[in-house]
Amino acid sequence: MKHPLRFPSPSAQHRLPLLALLAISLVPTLYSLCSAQGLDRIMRRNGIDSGKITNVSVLAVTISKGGVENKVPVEEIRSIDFSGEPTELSSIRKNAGAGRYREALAKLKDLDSEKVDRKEILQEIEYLSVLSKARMALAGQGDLERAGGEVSNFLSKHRTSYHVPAVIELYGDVLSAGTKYSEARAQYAKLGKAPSPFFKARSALLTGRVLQEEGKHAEAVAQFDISLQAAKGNAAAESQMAEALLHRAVSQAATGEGEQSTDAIKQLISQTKPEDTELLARSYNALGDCFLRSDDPKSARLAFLHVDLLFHQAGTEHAKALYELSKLWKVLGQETRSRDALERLQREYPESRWARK
Amino acid sequence: MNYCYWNLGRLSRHAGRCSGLATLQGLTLIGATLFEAISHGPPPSVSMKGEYVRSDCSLHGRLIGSASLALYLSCLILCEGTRADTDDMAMAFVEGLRERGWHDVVLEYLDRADRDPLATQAFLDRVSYERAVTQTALAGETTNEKQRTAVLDQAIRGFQRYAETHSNSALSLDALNQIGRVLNQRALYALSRSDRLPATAQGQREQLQQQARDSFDSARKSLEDLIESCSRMEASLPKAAQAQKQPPGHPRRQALQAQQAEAEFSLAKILFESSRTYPVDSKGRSQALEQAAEAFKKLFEDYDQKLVGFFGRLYEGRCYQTLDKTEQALDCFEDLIDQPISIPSFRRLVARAYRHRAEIHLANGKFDKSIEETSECLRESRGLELQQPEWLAVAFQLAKAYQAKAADSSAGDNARKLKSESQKLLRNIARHPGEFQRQAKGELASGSADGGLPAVAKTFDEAFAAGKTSLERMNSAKLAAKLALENNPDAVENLRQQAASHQTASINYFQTAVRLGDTDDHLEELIELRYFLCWLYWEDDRLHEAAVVGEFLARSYPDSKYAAMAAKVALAAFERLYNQARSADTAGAEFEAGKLNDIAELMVLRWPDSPEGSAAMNLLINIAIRDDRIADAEALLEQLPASSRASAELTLGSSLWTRYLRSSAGGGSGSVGNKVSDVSITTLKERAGDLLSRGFEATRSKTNPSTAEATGILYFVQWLLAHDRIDQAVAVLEDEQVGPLSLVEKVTSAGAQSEFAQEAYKAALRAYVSLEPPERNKARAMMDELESTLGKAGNSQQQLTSIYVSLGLQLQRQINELSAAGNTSKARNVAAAFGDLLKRVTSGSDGNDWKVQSWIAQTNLQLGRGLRGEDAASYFEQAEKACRALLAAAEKDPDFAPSKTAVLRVRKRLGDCLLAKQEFEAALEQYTSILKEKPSMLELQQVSALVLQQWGTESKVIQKIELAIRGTLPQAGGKNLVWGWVRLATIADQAKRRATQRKNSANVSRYTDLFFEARFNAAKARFAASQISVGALRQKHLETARRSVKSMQQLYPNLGGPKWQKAFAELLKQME
Repeated sequence: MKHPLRFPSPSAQHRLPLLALLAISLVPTLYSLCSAQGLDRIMRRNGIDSGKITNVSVLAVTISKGGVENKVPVEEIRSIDFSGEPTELSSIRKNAGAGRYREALAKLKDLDSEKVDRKEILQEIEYLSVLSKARMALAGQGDLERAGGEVSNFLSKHRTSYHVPAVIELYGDVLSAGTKYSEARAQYAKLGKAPSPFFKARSALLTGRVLQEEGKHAEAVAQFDISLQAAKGNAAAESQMAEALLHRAVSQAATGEGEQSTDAIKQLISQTKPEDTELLARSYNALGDCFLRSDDPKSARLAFLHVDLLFHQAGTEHAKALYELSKLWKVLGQETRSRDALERLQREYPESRWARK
Repeated sequence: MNYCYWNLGRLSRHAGRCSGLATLQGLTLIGATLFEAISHGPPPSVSMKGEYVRSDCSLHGRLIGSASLALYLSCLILCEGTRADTDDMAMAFVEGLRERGWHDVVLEYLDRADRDPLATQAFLDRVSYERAVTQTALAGETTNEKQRTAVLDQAIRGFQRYAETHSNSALSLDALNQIGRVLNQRALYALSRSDRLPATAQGQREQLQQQARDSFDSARKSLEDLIESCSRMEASLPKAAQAQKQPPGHPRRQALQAQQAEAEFSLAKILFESSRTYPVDSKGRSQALEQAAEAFKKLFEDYDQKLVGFFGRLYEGRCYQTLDKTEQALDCFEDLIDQPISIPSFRRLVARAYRHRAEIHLANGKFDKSIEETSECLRESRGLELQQPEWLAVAFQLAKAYQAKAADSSAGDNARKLKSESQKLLRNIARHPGEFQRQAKGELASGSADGGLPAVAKTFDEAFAAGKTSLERMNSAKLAAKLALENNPDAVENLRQQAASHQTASINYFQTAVRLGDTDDHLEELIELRYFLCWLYWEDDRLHEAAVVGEFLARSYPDSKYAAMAAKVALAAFERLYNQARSADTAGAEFEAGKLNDIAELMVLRWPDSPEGSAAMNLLINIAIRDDRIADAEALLEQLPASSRASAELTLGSSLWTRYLRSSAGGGSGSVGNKVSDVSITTLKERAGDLLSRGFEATRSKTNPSTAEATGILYFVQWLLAHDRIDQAVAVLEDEQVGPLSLVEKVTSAGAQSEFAQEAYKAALRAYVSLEPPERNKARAMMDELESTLGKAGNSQQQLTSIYVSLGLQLQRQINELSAAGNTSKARNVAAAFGDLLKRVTSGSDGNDWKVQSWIAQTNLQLGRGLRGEDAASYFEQAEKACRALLAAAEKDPDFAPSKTAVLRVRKRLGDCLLAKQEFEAALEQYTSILKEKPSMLELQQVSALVLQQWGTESKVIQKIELAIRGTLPQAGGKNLVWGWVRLATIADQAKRRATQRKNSANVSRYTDLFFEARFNAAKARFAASQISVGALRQKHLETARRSVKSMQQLYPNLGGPKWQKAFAELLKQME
């Protein structure tokens, strides 16, 4: 399940029904028209708003069209194309959205930002750079501390950017990856202060994930329950319920309810679309964890192998799967396969916490 | 290979549509491989690893490139049939695992696929098919022949089941195709083995040929089913008119027709191959070839202008060629050569036609024609075709033609040039894998002593290249010598000398290269050539040099791919040096021992999980154990990472356990100066158990433990049995993953060894009969397995009897202990299980052996004595039967019994049986008959008195009791033959005195015991007489008995010890 503050993956686009695909095919035409007319465009969850952005805050972006102002909540926004932005920015945004951070950074390097004077566009460029570096670092393909510094710097510099909630979450993720759990929780708690069911649910979900990481499973389950409760009835917030359910099952397994959790995760997997590789990768890793807890190394190995063979595009999850496989193969007497998994982990995700374990 | 059916003109048009179907390639190629495997001409060669590997390794790769239409058609079929759609992630998962070669994991996954949330119903429906596909792949990677055959049998059964239960699915066609493929390959393998047999092994050859014929027949049956299924499925499709509405025709119908064509070709090819199962020039062979030619001809006619038709034509020609109908054969091949088609698949076919035409020309002495045609073929080759097997085969024919022409008198001055051309061609052929590579190497080896190599290499490159060439020639000469043993024994010595000469040259060149080499420029080459040098030194028995170079490489370049292998050579060299030094002088082996230790430690540290590392560790541990350094062995074990200890723990545990067994049997450790000294026997036993237990636990997760590990686990079972932990022993034996019984059943590398299987069955037999209650059915099954494993050859029956007897002795002890402990119910159970064992021994052909029969009699008697009533009767009956059989046999043939004493012992035992059955008269008769020959046998005098006493007591006849006391059967001198208790006591007393004088304490003790026993029984008999008497007589007997006891107590206050004190006291108590 994708956080709406993140860019949609190409696989998510593939899920769109035929009509949506037809609509997308019209986008270049509309875009040309908007650019010609000097309009900003907000890509929402359900549709596009064109006009002139008149105000940007941490919680909403206001767009005016024909004198009518419309305030779009941040959680509804997928991305914004600003009038007058460099043409390359669109493809950079797409690369970052598809997880191709290395390509995004390469293009950003070539981007001539000297000519840009609009504040929102400069923020957008900096955000894409910070996001790409941090995500690569989180996947073990970059320096985590340095990335954390840049994320923190963005928050200090751009206090009113509509990216602030996403960057707070990113900062929390970086801190958590660096095992600074209490600091990570403090960042996620900030999100919960927003007057929106979406952020309340998001905050609880992220906090639960950190607690889970710390091994505080009972507390984590409580947070996931808060998240599920907060998300009820809110379309944007409900999009993250699957993730909350998944993590809840993992923690539940850790508290001794292995079979129940395994069933819950399996049900979630069977309901997830094949294109949602991120969620499937997480789910199989969670399933593997459950099997490990119930001392069933063979089933655990099969679960982690699913991530390695089918969902390896999900970098962080793939690194974890490789780490677990390197251990499991050894336990199961397959030293060569164990070494292979470890070598791939170190080669593909050298900076990840899994490679450093 | 469906593409062969298709009209050649359409190939390119469809090829482009097949991209993106990679995940389905494996499946399509399965079918394709069948076609290609059976459509390629030369006989198969067998690799070290695979069962049925063709000499042409590159075929498969090329097939992938050319099978695009087959992919397309198969995809169409599968999309409409049962093949999972592209969203079937479970199938994608399986394919991913297969790509990595993890077939073992695929099998595990398929076993639990129903628990994977991603597995669709369509996928679950095909699990049994996928399992069979995986087993086939797994078999291809299995080196053990027995195991491979077993896995393939499972696969065939799996395919058959799938085809039967899914007869309407398109995949069932693949299943039938697979069965045909496997059986066909099995037949070819049998033929290949038959071809390699020496001329004298005619019986074995015929057996293999029959096997091949049977497999061909089964393969044919499967392909006929496939054709029938294709027809049935095609008939069920919409009518042709409707199909025409879907241009370019109904793809499913086309795919079915393609599969049918493939199957028809395969059937014809089987006829062709099966001709080889008959002797050359036999009628059977000719008939098979004629039939095959007809079938291929029909294909050519039915599939005009299609690739399958042209293949038919090629094989029709080959049939005629084999039948020696050369003109017809040449016509067939010419038809192909004349075709103006230039697609790669067809060009390969044409090259093959050229090759076969050249073979015919050569055989007919038409060298010029052969040279002309093959040269033309090679000249017209494109790109890298000259390196492909078909063109290499043509080149080989050209080389042979040059040689033949050179040898021909008409060659004149041209001969040298022709030979040179031939050599050039052969060198190229020898460089590339293919049907003629070995032959080319052999030709080169026999035709060149030092040709082409510099006398003195001046540069590194020159020396390195010359060294490698010499090495290649050495290997070729060795191979040629091996082949010549069968075909040309006269040439063997010469070839061996050539090999030795090339070996020396190679060493010299490499040494020069080392001198000329520069580590900056030639590092990789230097490492490589040093490894070769190290190996060559080892081959040349230059052990010190081999050890030094090997160790240098291992230490200086540990990351090189040669390092581990070089270390292994060094280890072997040091071990041999150590053994040599040790046998010469124990003290002088210190240096070699140290070096051996160093290199082994290096290997263990550097490659702990590699076979080399394990070999080193085992060697170190074994040396430590052999040198009685148990502590060192344990320390070595500790040096291993915990996760890698399992194997070593089992090895060390096994060593300690066998050492314990030898020590406890009083045999030391088997060699002088190697007795257990540091560790007490008990510690040895406990430590062995500890290590074996840990090793077993750590190995449990392994799917296929090594032979050493499996042996360790078997030792652990023995250890558990020795400690009466029967339940645990059974659990280990039956452990699903690594239990010895499972390993035997799964035919793993260890389990496939008959010694291992025998030991596993023995241990299991002992465990099952010792369980409470015993698992008699399982025990019987183990006996069946044991008998089947040992077979009927040689001394197997003797071995079997010996196993049963040794097991019987263990059980006997167990029964006695149980009976003594009053645990009759358990004793009865064990005895029943033991009875099964006895029956087996009795029914075995060894059952007439004196020792065995004697043991059977004794064992049955003892078993009966441990039981009561009816439980006991049957054992006594069997014991008596065995004794009588022995006596009858001895009477018939006096040489049957090992000695006269042995016969007497049996007669005594027969008396014991009769006594146990309370047949007193008969028993006494047996005893007295022996006493007539040996009147002073105290043991017999005892039992004779006892018989009389019991007889009188049981039948209430006082006279018999009197005879027991006073003796009976007076002989010529007036002395009784049976002494009775009173005289026995007197004799015992006298003997005791004599023994005391002679200070023979053992006899003193024995006769003292006998004296008190006799006196006790005399009193007891008297008391028994009182019990069956009445009135004054009763009183008289009672008084006599009482007096007798009292006087014993007065005369001998000690009464010979507590045993008789207690007995006399109890008797007195009964009297009072």
